[in-house]
Amino acid sequence: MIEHLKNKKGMISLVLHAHLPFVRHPEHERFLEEAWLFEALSETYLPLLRMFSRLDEDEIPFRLTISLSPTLTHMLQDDLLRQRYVNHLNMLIELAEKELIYTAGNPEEHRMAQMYHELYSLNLKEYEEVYERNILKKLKYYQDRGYLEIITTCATHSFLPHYQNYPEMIRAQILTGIESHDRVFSTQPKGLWLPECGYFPGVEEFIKPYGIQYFMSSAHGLLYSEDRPVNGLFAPIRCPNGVHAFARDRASSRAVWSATDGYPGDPVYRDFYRDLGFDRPLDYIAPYINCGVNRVNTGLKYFAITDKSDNKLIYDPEAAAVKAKEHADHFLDNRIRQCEALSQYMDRTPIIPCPYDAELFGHWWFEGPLFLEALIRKIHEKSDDVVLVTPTDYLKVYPQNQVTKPAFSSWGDKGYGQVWLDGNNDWIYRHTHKLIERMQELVNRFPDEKGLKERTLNQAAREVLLSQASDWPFIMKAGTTVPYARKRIKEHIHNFNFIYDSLSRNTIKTEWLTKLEKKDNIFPFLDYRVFRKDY
Amino acid sequence: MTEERLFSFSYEQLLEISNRGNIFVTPGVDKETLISLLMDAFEEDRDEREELNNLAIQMEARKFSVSRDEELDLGQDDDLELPLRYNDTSATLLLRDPSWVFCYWDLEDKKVDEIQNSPGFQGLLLRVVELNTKEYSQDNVLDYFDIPIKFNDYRRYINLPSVDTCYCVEIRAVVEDKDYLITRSNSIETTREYVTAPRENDITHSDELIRMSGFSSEFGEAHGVSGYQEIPQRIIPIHDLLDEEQFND
Repeated sequence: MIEHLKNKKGMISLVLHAHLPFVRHPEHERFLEEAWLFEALSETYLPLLRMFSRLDEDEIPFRLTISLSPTLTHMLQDDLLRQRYVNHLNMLIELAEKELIYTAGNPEEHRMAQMYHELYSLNLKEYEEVYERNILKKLKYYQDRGYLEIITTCATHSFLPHYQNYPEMIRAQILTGIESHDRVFSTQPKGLWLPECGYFPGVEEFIKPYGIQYFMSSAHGLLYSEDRPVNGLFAPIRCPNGVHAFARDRASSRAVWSATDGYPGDPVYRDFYRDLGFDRPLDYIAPYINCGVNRVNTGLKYFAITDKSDNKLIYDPEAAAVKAKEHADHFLDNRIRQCEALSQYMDRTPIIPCPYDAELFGHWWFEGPLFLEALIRKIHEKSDDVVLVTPTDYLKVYPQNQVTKPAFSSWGDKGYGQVWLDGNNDWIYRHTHKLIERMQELVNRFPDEKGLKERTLNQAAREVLLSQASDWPFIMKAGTTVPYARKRIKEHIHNFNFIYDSLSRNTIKTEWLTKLEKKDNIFPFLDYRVFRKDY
Repeated sequence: MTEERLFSFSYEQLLEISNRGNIFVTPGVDKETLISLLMDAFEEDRDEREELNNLAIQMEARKFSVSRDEELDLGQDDDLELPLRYNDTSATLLLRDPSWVFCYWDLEDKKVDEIQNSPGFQGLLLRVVELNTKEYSQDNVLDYFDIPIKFNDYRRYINLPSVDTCYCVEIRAVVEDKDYLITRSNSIETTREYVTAPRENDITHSDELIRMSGFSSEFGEAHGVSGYQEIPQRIIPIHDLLDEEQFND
């Protein structure tokens, strides 16, 4: 296999990072932000599984890397959220049925209503009957078939550079993430997605003990390494402790990320922003939006991007599918030419690492899964030239790589830590750092508790981890659902401090604790001693 | 937030929304004009947010797009008040980017009383200390500069004079023209913002490969992320690269 790969013009490594923060609100009958998961399931995860199944049936081998965050895998296994997803689909099927009547006099819109009715009905059928509400089992199946390399990330997707002063916490985030992965997939992950590609020199020392071979870095994280990377971004570098860093190829990132000059901005593709939730009369759409008054996206979008005006053309799925194939051809053609150009200067086969947010494919770029499928099929056709590999495959072919250390970096705006540390969100660190210090103090005070106290301490550890999700400062900076993000951070800090004070007074309220355990029920295996210095 | 939704709010609620969004409204403005002002401000805010973020962040934000302008929700989130400080004596330094750090600190009430009551107390200083390694010792101090602070200051962004070095900060009290250490922060290592020069006798094609990675070909000098942002963004860079190759040939 190794010699076979060395003879190619290039290797392409598609890495999809699937992550959502822990959002679960049993205290509310319906909760708006839980739709983040439902939309990702409907538009990204189920379509991707459908794509894997078609490729498998057609005997097209593929090698993809998927990073699944522990918060996401927990939510995908949660009975309450599974039931709510089914309710969500039933609600959308009902809306689509209503739309079939509403649009009866408009053949173009009627066709759209039919499309969504079929799509949501298929989602429901497959979710219930094929996956039995557990899509992780199917992902594991594709991993066992050799098609997927599933990797993990930190427990709650913490932006590690802003916690580098707390080694026990970095370890707790990484170890809990790996343990969570192991419990779901029964394997040790070979790679670790550093949340937001947030690297600081030395983080590799926390990764190495768990058998992790590689992580993904931003482009400049690798290019600004201690020694200049002699192969640019087209070969990984090896940190002095043996862990490898693969960097994001900028050209292929931009091609699929940019709304202006990337593929997803093509006029024939479905418009993400024009949603029925904003187009239909309020009394008609009320049962399907937030509290019956706040218009929100329903997921039913009838228009193509067309142009920047409000006069949009109705979406044409067939035309969009043709375009997705054209774009896949174009993408691959460019990668092959890129590899040919690179080969002039390299003494090995170049690798083009293409890491993306998984939810880009389908949720935002509706045709993204079609693009990926067409790309994979095309790569299979052109397998004499290029091949899909995982970073692990590459390391088997080329185990020896340039030794140096990447630079502090992230994939955020301007490339460092400012997305997660600016005037909108810097207030959180005084509190989240204090929580870590207090947690360590609790571990020292209560080194080996059992029963109610142990439960309390484990819940305290959960609250510490949950407070550190990178999503909350990210949302505060990006300006979407800011009150919710602020509330979440405050809640976790408040819950922890309440536990801390209760333990100090020895007045643990069992009922309150049980309620909190049921609400923030992530990482049931968590042992609070993970915060101990010598754990 | 839609125009229709804004019309469902009372005039007072609309004024509250404009207050929260720091949107200036002429006193006595009618409801329709107020709504129109708010809609314009929301749109401007949305465009600005989009422009300020890079592609990765724009994409990530879309995962959370179930609605628009949720930040103007009239719901309260301040029922869970957090302490402003924890009555500790400590300072913490966080690296934000190669040139900026964020520092937050706290001084115990007891300590504050003690300092304020010291005869000859003149003020507080935030000393930014450059070190030649991450470990603090007097011998490792390369340079420092002072920023005067007050007792009710608790945080600050600091622009650093040097890259690729180490820093810590100290809170110091000035008493009778001498300064005394109150607390010292953790040390941080700042970072490079350039591609390092090739090693002597470098026989690789690293210049070409780094250029083909989308970075400048002028590798002898520091080349920062700000420059990196300005590199022409090309969906089909390989065509350009090939053209350049042909031109060079």
